[in-house]
Amino acid sequence: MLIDSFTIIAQIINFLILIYLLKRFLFNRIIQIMDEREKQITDQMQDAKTAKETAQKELDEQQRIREELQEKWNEMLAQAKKDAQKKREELVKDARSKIDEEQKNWREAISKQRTAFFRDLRHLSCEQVCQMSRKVLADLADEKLENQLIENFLIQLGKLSKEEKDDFVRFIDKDERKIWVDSSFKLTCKKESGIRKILEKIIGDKVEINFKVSPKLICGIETRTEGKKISWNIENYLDGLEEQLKKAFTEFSFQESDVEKKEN
Amino acid sequence: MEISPDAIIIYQWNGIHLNATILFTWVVMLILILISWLATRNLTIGPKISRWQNFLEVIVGYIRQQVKEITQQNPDPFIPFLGTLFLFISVSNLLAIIPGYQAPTGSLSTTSALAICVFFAIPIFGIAKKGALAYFKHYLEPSIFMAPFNVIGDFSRTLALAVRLFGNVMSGSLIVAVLLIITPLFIPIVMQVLGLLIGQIQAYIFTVLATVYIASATRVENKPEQIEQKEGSKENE
Repeated sequence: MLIDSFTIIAQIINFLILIYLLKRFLFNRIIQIMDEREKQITDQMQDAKTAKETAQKELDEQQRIREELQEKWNEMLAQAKKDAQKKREELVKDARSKIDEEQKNWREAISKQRTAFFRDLRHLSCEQVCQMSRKVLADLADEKLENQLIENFLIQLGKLSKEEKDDFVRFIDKDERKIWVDSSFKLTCKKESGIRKILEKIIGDKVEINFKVSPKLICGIETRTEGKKISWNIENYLDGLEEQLKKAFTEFSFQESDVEKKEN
Repeated sequence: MEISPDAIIIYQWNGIHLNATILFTWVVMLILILISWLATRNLTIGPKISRWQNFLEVIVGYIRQQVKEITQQNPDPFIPFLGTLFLFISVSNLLAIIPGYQAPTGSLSTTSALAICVFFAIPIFGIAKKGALAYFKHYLEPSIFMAPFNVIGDFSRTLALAVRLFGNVMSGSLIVAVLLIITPLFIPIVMQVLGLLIGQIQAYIFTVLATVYIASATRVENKPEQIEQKEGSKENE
């Protein structure tokens, strides 16, 4: 007998039990785990997609920030260059003005030194000229020339005004009543008496007259009291000449320095 | 030599007899349940999974894919029934390589039992899916006169299922037995290998036919848009 009813029933029951057990231990579990994995993969892919989008956004944002920074940096660089140029110009200008000032000061110092040098030179040359003249005249002077000078002196004494005479007399010491007459050469007695007469005439009284030889006068004569002096000699001429020369040089120096200042 | 393992009685008590078919069915059941239980104890969804889990996932995944392709519906409600059917027949035939083993599928009682299960599963799935009225209505199509033929068709295909599997498996083991007598060396091994291949093909054919019958019973006719919409909603869930 190929078919056995008991076996059929038993196999049906066996098969149903197998369905139940495999459903419980195999299919449900495996299907569940496969679905979960699929869901997990889908979620992960979704997460990855989201993360990618976020990263892209972040990247774009970073790119934008970097571009902004680059732009800002360029602007700052341009500004810095501009500032540096400005500063450089200022510094150059400042340096130039300082150099100009230094130059001006230097020129002024040079000018002062030159002026001082010329002033000293003039002064010295003036003195040298006078000294030379004095020496020449001293060499040339003699009694003859002095006599002429004395004659002239006596004439000048005679020509003195009353105020000048009073002024001269006023300075004679009342007690001692002394007058000094200096000459470069020894006077003759005739000359001395002549001089004495004229002086007594001027003073109007007797006085003690002391004659003395003084080589310093070079050539000429002078008479003096305690505080007043009347003279007629070459030294006087030379002194006058020196004064005139110094005055002339000083005026010339002032004019020259004015011209230099204008030139500067 | 026995044609059917039903004839090999191991234990008998009070009209209840334990034959080789039932015994080896239990063996197959035990193997299947043991492997399932051991492999699914520590399931993980991480990237690193055990080999057994991977193996079972491949098999279940393949069954799901096949059922989905044939039924054009969500395969999950059918998987326990169709998957068990395939695994039972497949393992029963595979173990034929062990000497002394008698494939339960080589028994017409077993194949009949499986065919009867399919016979009742078809209306159960159909009614669950479409409702009793809509399901029984298809017996009257295309006309009421075709109703007897539809009923006969149901029975005949169930019979065909049972006999096809029984015939193939039984013939396979019978040919090997006959060849052992004629040429004891080499040829029986080749036939044994062929028998294994035929056993797997028969498991596949039995399951696919059952799937097709269930699919035809549960299909909502001429409305493929609805199927797609339902599938779409199911996937969204």
